[in-house]
Amino acid sequence: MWNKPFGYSEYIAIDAGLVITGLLLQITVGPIDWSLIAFPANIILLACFLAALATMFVLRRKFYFFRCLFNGKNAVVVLSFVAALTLVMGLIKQDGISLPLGFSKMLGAWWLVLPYVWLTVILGMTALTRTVPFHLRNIPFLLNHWGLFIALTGATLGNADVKELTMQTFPGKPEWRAVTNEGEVTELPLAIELKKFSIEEYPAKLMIIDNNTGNALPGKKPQFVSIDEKQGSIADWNIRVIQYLDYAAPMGLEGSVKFIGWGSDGATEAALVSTFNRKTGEHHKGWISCGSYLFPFQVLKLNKKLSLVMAEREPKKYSSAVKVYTKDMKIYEDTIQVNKPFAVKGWKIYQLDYDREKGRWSEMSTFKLVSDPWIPSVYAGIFMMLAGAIFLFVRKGPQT
Amino acid sequence: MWNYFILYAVIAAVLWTIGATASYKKAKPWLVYSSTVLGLTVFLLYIILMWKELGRPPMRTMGETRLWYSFFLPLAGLITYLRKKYRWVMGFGTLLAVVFICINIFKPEIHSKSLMPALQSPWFAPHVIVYMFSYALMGVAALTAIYILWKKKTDLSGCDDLVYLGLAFLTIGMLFGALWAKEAWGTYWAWDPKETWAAITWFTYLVYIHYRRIPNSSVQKSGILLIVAFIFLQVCWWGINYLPAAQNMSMHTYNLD
Repeated sequence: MWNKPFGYSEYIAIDAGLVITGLLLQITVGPIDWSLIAFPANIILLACFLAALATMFVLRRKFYFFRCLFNGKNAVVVLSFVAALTLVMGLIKQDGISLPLGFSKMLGAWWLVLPYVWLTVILGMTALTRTVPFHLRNIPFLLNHWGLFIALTGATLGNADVKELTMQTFPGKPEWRAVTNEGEVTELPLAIELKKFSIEEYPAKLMIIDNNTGNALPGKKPQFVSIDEKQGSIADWNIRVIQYLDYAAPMGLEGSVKFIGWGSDGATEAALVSTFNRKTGEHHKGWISCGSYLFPFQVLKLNKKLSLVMAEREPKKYSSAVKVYTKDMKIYEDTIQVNKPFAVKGWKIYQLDYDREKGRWSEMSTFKLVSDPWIPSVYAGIFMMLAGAIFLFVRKGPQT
Repeated sequence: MWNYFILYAVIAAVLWTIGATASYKKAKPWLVYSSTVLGLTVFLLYIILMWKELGRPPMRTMGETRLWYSFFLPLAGLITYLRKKYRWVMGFGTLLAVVFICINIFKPEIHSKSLMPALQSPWFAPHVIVYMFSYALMGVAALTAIYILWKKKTDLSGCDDLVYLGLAFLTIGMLFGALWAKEAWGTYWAWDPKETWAAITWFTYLVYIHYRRIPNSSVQKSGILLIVAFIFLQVCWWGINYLPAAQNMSMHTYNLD
């Protein structure tokens, strides 16, 4: 071993060495503390990294080891190691607590990250070999390799500068405090005032469930009847909606509950239904309701085993009309929806959640705020790879 | 709409089988193409009708994604046949398509799920369609690899073409996912089980491509690598729903309740 030219054994030894080094670091120093490379450390690191790559490239004819960095077999080996280590991550639950040595939190494990860094080194060196001298025909190759290099580097170094916050807002009360993923409260340079939270839900669904297991019938292929269909059938049961109230409240005692129209906060959906079993001839009739934060749900017992229920309505669309106040006395207005975030002053505000207990009566709106200063570099890498991928299926050949 | 599935599926499958048999017997091209394309049209019609009935793209449940797989497989086989004239590739595509049709008939997860707000995005259809097409190409590549290993042949160039094309779509699908995630959740990559396995699959196909470029690389090892990569692909697609490590950890799991 270690005779030139290097082969698979040598390259495997190098990568294995990185993994072992990583394990030793994990044992001695502990997991990676990504906050250590927050700005300006990440910029300095980037500069050093690029300088090192440039130096190794310029000196490649003098040092065999530098030439190895863009060797094809080396690429195969490092990609295999990265794939294998990621496979370990895919097979172990990343809950952060179960296993030692970083196995449950592999994104902070030296022995995963060092091979990924090595991949980036080899990627950069390989890309350099076809950057200088520059030829147009190398463009697909460069897009693919530099694209991944830029995305990986930007994402890893930029990760320490990402701020993700959650903020709960209530109507008419501007909020400038938010909570980090670790539960710390922090103040923002902007204030968000929720003007109105709006939600549309899908029509309620009627289902027949087993009283003991709670499973919907029929076993393998659960069916439901949508309340707006007015009638349908599930298994042997015909179901008919006699009356539906979108805003209702219960009246009466256990055993003889009925619902009346009632429009105030907390009103529930209710339906008067009748069922007919085609096999046994049984008839049932009664009120069912999915309940709300004010009122309990109501089922229609069909027999000892089964009940007809109205499932809680699923959200179709929800959004928040907001006013954002910034420190330089500007006011911005917009409506934030899932998949339509609002960008302001370096922050992107996402519609995350609402008061699920209150459902359609929720006044509270939860936002996620993300600040990601390195995102332009990641986007650049992503778009380069997209372009490179298109070349892959236009050219379909080893030139790429 | 699912009640009519077996009708459309059987018609399409019969047409595809005619086309595949014709290609195997080196029959006139018009028979191969027209039969297969007709089968594809029938199946596509079913998908479109289902799309209309649901009022949303049929991509939400496992059963619905299998529809696209069954559509793209014979298409991938046809494209490969057009370019490489392999006699068996359309048979493979049809066979795999029929397998997934049968799964939809015998183990359906058919209750229609309302589309949650997170999925109401223009990214939804492209992300899924591009991925399903890639999966189809990789499926044909894997079958080709098995065939070549079994018959001890030495020319894997057909696989290479399929994998380059498949990887292109796989990459685009993955990157569409990242761009969508940034718009929906604020993070382009969260290493949840689906994304982790997507990365594993992507890297494994990259290993294959780079290994194939080394002079004198082993055909046998390449073939096995391709099959392993396809297994990872299946894990990524639906295997994570059963993987202990992935339980309750992913936004991506198609609900099986």
